[in-house]
Amino acid sequence: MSLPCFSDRVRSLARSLICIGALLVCGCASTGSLPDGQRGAGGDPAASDVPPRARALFDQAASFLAAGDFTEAELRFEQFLLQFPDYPGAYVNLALIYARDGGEAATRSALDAALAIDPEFAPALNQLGLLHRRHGRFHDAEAAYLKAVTVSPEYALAHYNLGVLNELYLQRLDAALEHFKQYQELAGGDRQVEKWIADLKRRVAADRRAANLADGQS
Amino acid sequence: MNRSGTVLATIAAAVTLSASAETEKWHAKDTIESLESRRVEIDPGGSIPNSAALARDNYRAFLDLVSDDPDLRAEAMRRLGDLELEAIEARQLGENIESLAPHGYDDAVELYRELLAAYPDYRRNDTVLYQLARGYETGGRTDEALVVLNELAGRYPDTPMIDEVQFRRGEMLFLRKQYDDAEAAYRAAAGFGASSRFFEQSLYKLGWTRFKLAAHKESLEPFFALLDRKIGGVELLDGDKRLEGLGRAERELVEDTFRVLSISFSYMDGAASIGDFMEAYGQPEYAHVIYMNLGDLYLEKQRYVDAARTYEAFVGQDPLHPKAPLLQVEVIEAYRQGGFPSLVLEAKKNFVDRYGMTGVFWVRNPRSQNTAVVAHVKANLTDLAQHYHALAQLGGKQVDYREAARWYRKYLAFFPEDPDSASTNFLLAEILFESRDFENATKEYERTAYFYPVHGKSSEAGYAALLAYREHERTLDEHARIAWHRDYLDSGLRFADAFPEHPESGAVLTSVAEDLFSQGDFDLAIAVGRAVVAKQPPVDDTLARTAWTVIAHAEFDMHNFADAEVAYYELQSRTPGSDAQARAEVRDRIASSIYKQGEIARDAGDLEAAVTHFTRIADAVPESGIRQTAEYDAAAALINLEAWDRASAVLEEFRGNYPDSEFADDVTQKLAVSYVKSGQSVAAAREFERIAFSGTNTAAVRREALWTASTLYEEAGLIVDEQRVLDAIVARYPDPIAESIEARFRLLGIAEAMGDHAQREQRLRDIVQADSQAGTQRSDRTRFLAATASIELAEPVRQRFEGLKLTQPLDESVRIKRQAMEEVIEVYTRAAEYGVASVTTAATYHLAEVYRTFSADLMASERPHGLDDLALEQYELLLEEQTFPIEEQAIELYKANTDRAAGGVYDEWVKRSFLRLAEMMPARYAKTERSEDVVTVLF
Repeated sequence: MSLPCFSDRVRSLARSLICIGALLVCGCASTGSLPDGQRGAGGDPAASDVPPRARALFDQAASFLAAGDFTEAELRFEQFLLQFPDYPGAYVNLALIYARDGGEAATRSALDAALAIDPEFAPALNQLGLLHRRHGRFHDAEAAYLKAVTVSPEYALAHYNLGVLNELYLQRLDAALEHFKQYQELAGGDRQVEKWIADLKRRVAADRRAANLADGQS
Repeated sequence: MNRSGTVLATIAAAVTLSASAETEKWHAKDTIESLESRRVEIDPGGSIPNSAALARDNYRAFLDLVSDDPDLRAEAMRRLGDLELEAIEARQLGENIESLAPHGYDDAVELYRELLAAYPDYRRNDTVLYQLARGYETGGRTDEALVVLNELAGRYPDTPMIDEVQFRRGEMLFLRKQYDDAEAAYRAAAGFGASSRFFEQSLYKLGWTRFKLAAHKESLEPFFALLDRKIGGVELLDGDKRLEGLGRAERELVEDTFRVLSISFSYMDGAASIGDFMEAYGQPEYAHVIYMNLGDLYLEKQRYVDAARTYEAFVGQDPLHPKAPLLQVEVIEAYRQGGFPSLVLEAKKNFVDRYGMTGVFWVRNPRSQNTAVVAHVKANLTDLAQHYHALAQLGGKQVDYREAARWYRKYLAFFPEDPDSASTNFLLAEILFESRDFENATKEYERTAYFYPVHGKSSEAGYAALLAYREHERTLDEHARIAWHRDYLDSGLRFADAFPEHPESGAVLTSVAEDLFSQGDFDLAIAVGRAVVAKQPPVDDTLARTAWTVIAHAEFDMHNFADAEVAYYELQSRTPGSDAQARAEVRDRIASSIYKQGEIARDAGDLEAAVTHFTRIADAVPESGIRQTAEYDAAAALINLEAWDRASAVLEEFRGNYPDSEFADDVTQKLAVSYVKSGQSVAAAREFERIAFSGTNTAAVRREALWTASTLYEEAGLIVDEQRVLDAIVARYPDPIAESIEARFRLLGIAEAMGDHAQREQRLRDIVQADSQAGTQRSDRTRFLAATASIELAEPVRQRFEGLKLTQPLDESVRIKRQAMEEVIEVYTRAAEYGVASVTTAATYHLAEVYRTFSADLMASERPHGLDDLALEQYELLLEEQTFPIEEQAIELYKANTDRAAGGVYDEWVKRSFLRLAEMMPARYAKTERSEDVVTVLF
């Protein structure tokens, strides 16, 4: 696996890390791949096979991201990946950071890297759907979201996004209605979504009546 | 042996010796009489030992003692006489014989006489008589001596010393000219044969005696018998040294004999007598000498014909004898001395015929042992040839020429490899040339020049051969001349090669080189020409110039242009400045040589070399007519090399040098390409403009050139130039529309860049108009451009609309704004009608905006003054009522745009439409996807 789209600064850093931590890299080699049964979105963050150091580094990076320190977060996730290249979560976080600047190519690269490690990593698929939608590739977006909900049926965000996509961009109100409902079932209790469901139900019904009327007239 | 015999023999020998000494050489004055006058001299003998004097004294004493015993006394007396005689002789030998007193002999004589008288029957009286004769003779009393000897011969014919006695008698009788008696005495002496010590002397004197008696024929036999003994079996040499092998005395004896024989034969019938005699006697080995001697004698006597016949007689009877040729030579010599030229000539021919090297003579006689004969053959051949050569030169008769040539040829046939043969061969060639037999003269000159080791005439002959070649060539017909001329050239080369030092060598070579060149034999012409110019010391300027001309032209014709060029430089340096035409031709050839080198390099793919050649003509021959083509070709090669900067430099220079060149258009095109390739856009564009305005190019080419120029100007950022070119395109090439409209589109961009709004608007209208008039050429692209233009044209209308404020009195401002709005709607509607997606979404969005802003403007418009709250509320309700459908219209238009998203249209205007809808209908449209802010799972 190659390291996609890293800045020169990261590359030079990576080189020094390789020099200093050759032993460390060797020690981490056994963590390169994980048992299939322990993979998947929403996996327990405290999964026992994750080396504590990896967990710690990842969490530190994530905390910078959560705090809005994107520069530091980007650096740390990249450093993390130099030592633990097989965790897609880090790539998705990098994709989030790159997408903020509108860098489609970098974003796409990070997502491809994540999906290369785990083609069914739902957060990555969701981000891919977002990326496609932003660029008007609505059917590609739908495919990504659908794959996310297929491989991770409990991944609610994808249903939410499928709702938006179907309603606004694909003009498929009944599909939108279904996905918003799914979202509500999974996430639960979103009042705004609840209103949208009601609106959609009404519009779908109206459309159906109009359609029936059209059928009757014809 | 007794002493007296020795003395007599000594005396006899002395006689012949003195005679020989005086006649060692034959002289004309020598005659038989001269022999008679020879004096007899006594040669002193050896010394007498002292013991003889003692013995004599003893005998004297003995006689005194035993005078009574007759035998003893006789013996003693004889002994005493002998001793007395010996004593006298000894004294004579010791002193001068002339001073001897006569009475000394008398003592001995008296003793012998006493003895004879006393003892007449003494058994040894033969000895006493002999001694007595000696005593008389010694004392000069020869008459008495002869009497005693006669008595001795008569009384004692068997005495052991009878041969000597007879010989001495012969001698004494010969002196007294009693030749008959002498002849008998000598004959008797000789009759004792070879065992006698007096045999040869006797033969000799017998011959002479018979000669004196004029019995010539009879004299021959003893002489020949003597010669047989002296020179039989002896190898005789030739000429004056023929008797060198003999001792001096014998030599003289033989010579005397030869001499007297010759005289005898001359008194007889000459050579015929020799033949007669030898027929009877047998042919001795030295027979040729006898003939030779006789011939020589005749010659002395100036009897030339007799001499010749004598010599010839021997040759005639034994022509194969080793000495025969020498006598034949003497024949010639005799005729020559006698002044008989025709006989000499005939004799010489005979000689050559007989003893030429192919004759049978040489089968028997090896050449090595007969070198003198060989020399005579050569000499005679030479004489004959030169004789006729001289005659021919004098009289010019062909027969003489032929004869001279015949003899020269014979010489060469006989002596093909002799040192002298070369010069003879040269003479043969000369005579052939003089007789105008040029073909054979050529052969012989060549043979003279090249067949022999180098000799004095070698090079002269070599050159003469060439002259002969030329002479003969004139007589030949066309066909024969070709082959002959080829041989001539070969000979010329050979000459120059063999005799480089010959003064004509250079001229010959030059001439050959020219010939070879004119025959198209360039390889050889070059080789020969180079030999000329390489000669040391150098040939003169004229030859060198000719040679360099040949070399240069031949190299050129062989396509060896580099070598040709060098040669032309050499030629140039030898061509006088005054010969302007020649110099011009040479310089033209230099230029051509260089150009051809360029062509060859180019064809071989060596373009760099080709360029070097093409461009250096300008330096070498700046005035050359081919220079223009060469420089053009240089540029083309540089272009092929993609050496753009160098190519354009050359091309620019070319254009400067040859503004009216036929290549002008092509140069322009090449320059254009070069500038493009070297990134000189502006320069390139200028060239393309040139192309576009050149009448020789097709319309398509010109149009394309303009386009290229415009692109290049655009790249260079030269907007004004670009605009000029594009305007030209639009003006000159309205068709095809597809291109024309692109030009207009680009002009639009230029107007925008220049901030020229008026022009920009005009450009936009042009585009719209062009599309509308395109007819069947209308395309998606024209439509797109027209649609885009139309929406651009809508922009100012929209801005004017937006700029209008609704102010009180509202009626008026609304009316104005509504009017403006209708205009805006119209332009956007028209733009949307093009059916170009991006334009349609833009137009739709802008239309929506028009409705939305009009609605908003209405709502925000200035309220009428002086309304109370209620009225104001009613006014606003009324306003809302009025604006609501307008806002609805806007929403519908936005939705028309957003609905296109499902069809894949999601451009700027669709996105903006979504945003407007999210503002205007947030409950339905303000929906944003959700994402984790941060992904917390590792996998």
